[in-house]
Amino acid sequence: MTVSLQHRAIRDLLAGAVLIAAPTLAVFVAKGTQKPWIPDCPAYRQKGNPDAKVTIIEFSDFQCPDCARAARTVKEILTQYDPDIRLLMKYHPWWFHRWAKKTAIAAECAGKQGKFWEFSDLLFEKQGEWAQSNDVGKLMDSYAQSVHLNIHAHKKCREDPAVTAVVESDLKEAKDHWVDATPTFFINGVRVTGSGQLRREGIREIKRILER
Amino acid sequence: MRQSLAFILRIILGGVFIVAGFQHAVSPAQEFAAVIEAYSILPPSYILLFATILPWVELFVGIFVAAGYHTRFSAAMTGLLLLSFEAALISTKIRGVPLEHCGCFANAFPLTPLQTMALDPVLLGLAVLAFRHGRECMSLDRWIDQGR
Repeated sequence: MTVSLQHRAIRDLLAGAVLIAAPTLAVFVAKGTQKPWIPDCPAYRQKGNPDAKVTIIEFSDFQCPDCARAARTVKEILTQYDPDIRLLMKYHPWWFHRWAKKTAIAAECAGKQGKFWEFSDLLFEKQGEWAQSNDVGKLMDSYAQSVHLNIHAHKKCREDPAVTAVVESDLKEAKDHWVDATPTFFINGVRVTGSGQLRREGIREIKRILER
Repeated sequence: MRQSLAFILRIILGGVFIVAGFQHAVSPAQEFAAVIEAYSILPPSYILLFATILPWVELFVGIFVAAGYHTRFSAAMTGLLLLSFEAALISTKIRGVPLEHCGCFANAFPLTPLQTMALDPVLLGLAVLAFRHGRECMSLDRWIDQGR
């Protein structure tokens, strides 16, 4: 009887150990596949002092509501901590957001005409309008006009597969670094996700770096 | 036949928890923390800790249920988790908290809060079945009890 109970306890412990160890190992193996990263993006998607002590890399989706909220916080941070801060903006259009990719492409094309920030501000500001639209192309034309872009060049650029490839390359970069939520920020490499975390942990991290 | 069905349903229930837990566990905790924050239930200072622990609880409970290990306890745990998820979703609806997605499976399967509110009771039914009949077929519990 005692031997039998002992055997039962051994089987119980053995099964528990295997069931705990196997998924733990699987998670750590999956987590360990991140690739080395030297983040960069075109100059028109960068803001602030290039030699700043703090570099923020942002992965954003123009159709994500929290990205629009975070954009306001980012602006405040850039003003408050100038000239110690620099921002690099990267695209992360979600597949489940109908117009996310098209707007990222439109913003990239605005960037090629030197109006990336004006255009992206407008996209966040008018998110409620174009996100519900059935003809986003028409709205992109009107936004391009309102930030004084060359409409013809902008339209042509939006159809250029090379521009789509730029957006897709940012997405791949995000995937390689486990960016699976927007907005995601890397503040000198420290990850912060969402506008709430940016306001609390993000600003705390910036202050910590600047006080060093 | 009933035993085989109970086994299949137990695997489905465990599988859902394994997928959800694994997705959250491999992703940075900050991402799940942002999802939890959107529910506006927990105080911000506890969110990151909660976001670090919950995926592992989901993962282990899911594996225990699927394998039929301490089946009644693990099925009861899945039931409790499902009830708490449902309560959290209902509370966001009552308070008018806007949620784009429930965040249940990270962004791999972006379910809306309403879809999740419909799915949770179904899974709760599976949890009850697993609690009552989960040990009966191809469970580790049976293998452990063999020596009795």
